[in-house]
Amino acid sequence: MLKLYMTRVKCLIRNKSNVFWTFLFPIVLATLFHLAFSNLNSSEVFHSIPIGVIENNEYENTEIFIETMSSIKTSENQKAPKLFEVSVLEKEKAEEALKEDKIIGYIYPKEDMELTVKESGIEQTIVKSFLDGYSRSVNTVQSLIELNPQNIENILEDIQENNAYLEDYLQGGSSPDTTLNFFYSLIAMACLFGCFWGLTAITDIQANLSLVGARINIAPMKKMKLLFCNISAALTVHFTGILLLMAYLMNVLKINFGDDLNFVVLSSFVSSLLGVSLGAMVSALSNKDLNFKYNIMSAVTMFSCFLSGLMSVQVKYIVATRVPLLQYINPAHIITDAFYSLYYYETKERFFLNIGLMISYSLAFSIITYMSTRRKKYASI
Amino acid sequence: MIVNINNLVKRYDDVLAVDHLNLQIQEGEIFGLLGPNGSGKSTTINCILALLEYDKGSIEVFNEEMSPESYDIKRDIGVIFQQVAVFEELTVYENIKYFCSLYVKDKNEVKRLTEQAISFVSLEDYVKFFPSKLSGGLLRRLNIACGIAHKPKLIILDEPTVAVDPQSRNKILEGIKKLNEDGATVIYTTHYMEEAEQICDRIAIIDKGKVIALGTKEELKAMISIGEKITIEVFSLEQNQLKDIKELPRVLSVEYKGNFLSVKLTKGKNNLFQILSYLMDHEIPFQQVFTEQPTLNDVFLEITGKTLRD
Repeated sequence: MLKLYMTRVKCLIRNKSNVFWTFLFPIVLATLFHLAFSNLNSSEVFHSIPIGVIENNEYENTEIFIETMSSIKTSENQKAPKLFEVSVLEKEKAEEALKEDKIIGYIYPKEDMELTVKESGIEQTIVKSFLDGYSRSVNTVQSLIELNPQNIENILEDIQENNAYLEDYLQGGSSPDTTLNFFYSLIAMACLFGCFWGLTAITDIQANLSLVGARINIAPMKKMKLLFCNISAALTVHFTGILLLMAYLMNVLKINFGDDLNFVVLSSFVSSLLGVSLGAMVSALSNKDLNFKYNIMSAVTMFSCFLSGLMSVQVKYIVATRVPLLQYINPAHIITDAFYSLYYYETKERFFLNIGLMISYSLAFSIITYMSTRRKKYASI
Repeated sequence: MIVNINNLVKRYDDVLAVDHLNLQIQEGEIFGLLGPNGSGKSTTINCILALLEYDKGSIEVFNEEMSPESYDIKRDIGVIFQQVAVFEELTVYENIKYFCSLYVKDKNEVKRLTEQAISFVSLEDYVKFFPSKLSGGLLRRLNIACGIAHKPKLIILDEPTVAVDPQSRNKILEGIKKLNEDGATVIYTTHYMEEAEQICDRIAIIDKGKVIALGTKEELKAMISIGEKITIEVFSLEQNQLKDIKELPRVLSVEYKGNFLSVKLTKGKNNLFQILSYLMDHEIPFQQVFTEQPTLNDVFLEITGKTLRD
């Protein structure tokens, strides 16, 4: 039996077409994705807004204002970048800097803060919002002090006490990365390419599907033994291909799959099993020639991956909002979501739901394959 | 008896492929199944091998009913299909070894039998070649080696010489004879009557799924009225002279085409002498003279009214 298995493995790894699509194509595509997306995340990094503040000795709060503005950060994290890059300038220099786009505008500090900008935009709007907020706060404090001058100490304490009632919370320990879904869909595609291995595994033992199958069927060998050998060999070779892809993604392209490597390997194995068993079932159910089945499976795989967001994340969103049930039928989505949940969520419920779905589908496909191939005689060859 | 087929019926939807077929194949013989394409030869073979479901009848191989689970019987059968059935991804050696290992468990025995099979089909120089690098004739030889490596007692060859060059064909036919001499019973299907005549001990002529004639080649030829065919190169012949020749004793038919006079006669003495005498008596010049015994094609033609290659 081991001999048959080993020969089968040899057969599979010498099949150039399958090796290309399973081993090389996903790696090439992943590299292209990496090259295309490498600047995408860096472009999303926040840069401090360069703003000028005119020295105004007549306004007593100028110094406090500059200090306040310079100290604001983009988040509460101590390491977070500053929101504003404040430059204290004379008016002429500020105008010159604005003209040369060194600053996006300048502020003239006074009772009613005066902001001068060259054009409107997000950064200008942020500065304007800050100034409005600052003016409002200053006015409120002044009003409170005027109304209740004896309680000035408490008022100042309240102002310094910054109560936050809403808090950002990431469900996993990982920061959001919009490009990851592409790589997860790519893995799903590579896993579903296992269907090609499943196709040949069955075709080669069915007398009505191939000449080699006819020759094997006349040998004194139990068909289920051969089926087991062929499927095991297909799974071994395909899973190896997926592990190589994962190793490449993790070690060369530095794609993050979360911290638990065991679960990553488990997802890869179950996904590979899903792909191989899907192909085996299609091969067992149809009497059409192998090329026809290859074309059908290519189309099914690509469409499945398209719906899971391989070509555009928007498609995945549309499916999720408009046809949510499709997500639980689409094998590529289930695979993608398994990796996605592994990376983003701290709890494993969603991950195990996906793993459970994949195992269930694989089991169903395998039972159908068994029922179709256990037939010993054929109506026609 | 090696194979015993009784009343076999096989339909493909409305098409009756095998029609109440009966055959008994004896141990040690080369048994030919001769018939045109679509006559039911391959279907019969696939039924014997328990690959095809059939509608009626029974098949016994080595005196036991043949079924897909008859592993002991299958161990002693070797099949060479009409088309080459090997793995493209395995070399010549690996292919033969793989198929042999489906029959033989002992590793050393598999190795020994594989080498013997390679030597038998003279593929020693090609053991590391992949099938895609082999010529048609070499591929056929590989196909044969894969079918016989495990030394079967019954070898079934389903038109193994289709689209094979004459040199390779002769080599294949010699090989079949050798296998038979070594003790194997052979079932050989073909639509080439020359091959059947050349190697088969007994022949069943099949048409439309039925055995229409069965026996040795001599017995088959004895079944028909034609005993001899005489062809003479004649440069001119009148219609009345043709009529005269047709009326000579034992003449069955006369045809004059392209300066060649063809006469078919029943068995008898002096058939050639009486025709040549007629030509000389009427001062009709002639050159080349050929005489032929009837062929299996004549047998088929007389029984079915069509030639084997129709």
